[in-house]
Amino acid sequence: MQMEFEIAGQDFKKAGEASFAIKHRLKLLGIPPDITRRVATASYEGELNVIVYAQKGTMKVHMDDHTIWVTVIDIGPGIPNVELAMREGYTTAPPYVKQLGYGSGMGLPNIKKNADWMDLRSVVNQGTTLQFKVHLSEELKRGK
Amino acid sequence: MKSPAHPDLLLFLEKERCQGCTHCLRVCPTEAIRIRKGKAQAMAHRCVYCGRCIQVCPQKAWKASSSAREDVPSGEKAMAILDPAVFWQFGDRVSPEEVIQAFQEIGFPIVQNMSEPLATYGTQVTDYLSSPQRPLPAISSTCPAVVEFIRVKYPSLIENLVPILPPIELLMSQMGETQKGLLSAKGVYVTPCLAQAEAICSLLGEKAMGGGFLPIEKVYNRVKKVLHRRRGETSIPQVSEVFFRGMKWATPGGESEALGVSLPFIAAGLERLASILERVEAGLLEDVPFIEAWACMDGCLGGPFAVQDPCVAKYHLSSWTGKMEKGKGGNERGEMQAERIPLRLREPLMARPGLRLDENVRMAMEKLHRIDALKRKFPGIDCGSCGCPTCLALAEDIVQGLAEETDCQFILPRKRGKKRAS
Repeated sequence: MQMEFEIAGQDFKKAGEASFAIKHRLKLLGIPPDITRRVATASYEGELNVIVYAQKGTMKVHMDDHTIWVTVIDIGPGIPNVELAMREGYTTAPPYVKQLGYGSGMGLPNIKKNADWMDLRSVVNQGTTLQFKVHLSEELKRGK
Repeated sequence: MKSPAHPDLLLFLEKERCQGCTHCLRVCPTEAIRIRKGKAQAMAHRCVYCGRCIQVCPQKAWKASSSAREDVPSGEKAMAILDPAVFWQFGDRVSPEEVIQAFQEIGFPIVQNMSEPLATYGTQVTDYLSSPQRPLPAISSTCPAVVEFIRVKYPSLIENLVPILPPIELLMSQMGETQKGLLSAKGVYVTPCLAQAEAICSLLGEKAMGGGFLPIEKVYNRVKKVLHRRRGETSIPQVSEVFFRGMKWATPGGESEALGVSLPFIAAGLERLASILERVEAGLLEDVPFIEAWACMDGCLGGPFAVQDPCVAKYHLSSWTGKMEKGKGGNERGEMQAERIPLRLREPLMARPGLRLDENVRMAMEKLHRIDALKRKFPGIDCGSCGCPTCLALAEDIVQGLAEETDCQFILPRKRGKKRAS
């Protein structure tokens, strides 16, 4: 199964649209609630990062028998120091974004917490590619 | 007898009245309703008993199945348990005692109210909310339709529901077997709420065939008549502070107040609650300690069987709580004897597979592919003429073998045209 969503930078009103749609589809598929919730939380944070920092981006979801893969690619300022960005509480969000209740520096750590694997690559002034995956449980792998 | 068409639901359609008009189709929060052959029908696996269909039906075709008695039972052991919302249906000059007396006069020598179980429930919830090891935010489990809504649409949030036995279950577990038998044979829970009715009937099990619940609307006129006759004999309210603390639970905000929640977060109405639950599922709102959640916009006062306008009922409630608070006496906590009854849910609630397309994930994926392809064929205006609430729902029904493409009014003429051409 494959899904793709366009995300526009600075469009705070639409925050959550893509990740809520992904979540709904996982429910239709009967993916267990705990896995659905982890994917939902991580993809929401990924979506928000595009909205807060980038000009635009896409979120792609691919699901096979074993794994749910999410890839978020954006065109934007990039992250100069990925290691620093992964620290809890570290943020470069401007004050007005914080006023909106976003940019608390918990997004990336939260993705890491909810995903079974994550990878973050960035080129300054070009953009960022975030990938993460969440494993499906054993019984799902057997196609049940 | 429950409706033979839907053995699992109290919700019942009087077919002769239904005009297939799509009012209920559009408001059902879990898309559980379809119009087939000109008549509405509800899918038991998705229904959360909120009663929105009952509320919006212009023909009054939806109702609670008449497995509960149409009329009042009689005999010296007949019992009525009055839901907190019942007391405010009759007018601001009618005191709670008068309501109780009126119910006694129409044939229920034993009249109980919910204030004690609610007080017990309140203490338990307060304790639970102060425990550090709990998922945030905690979601109120007082409203049974909210609990069902979460089980069907937001199963990952089941762990956020407060795991205390609902008040009505507390009351029933305190009852002895004799009393319980009495309730099922000669008793009724008088309620404005379909979901409470469902809960009572499932608690009583098969015994509920003769009793269980009574929608307020069914006894309203008889109670009102008694009250009218007695007008002028008003007695001074004798009910306790505990009583009023309990009664506030009938309206949004009442639960948070009773629990002493300093910063209430209230979500009333399933449509609104849905958008809150979406956020919670995405890991937001984790700094909110407690969400007071209601299926109905006006809480129990706005339940599907309520007779009084909810704004008026709320005015009555406030008016009487005001009078009471001035003359309140005693400091009793008003709880039940807690050591005798289990207070926590014995086992966790299970998810209901209401949204799942197939038990097999691979099959579900295939179906989802077909749904995606199908929905592009439909106009996307969600007109409801096919009998499904949305074009997407029609696509879902088609892959489940419940509908056909030609059910769509926009596809049907095209197909006909092709046939004619060939």
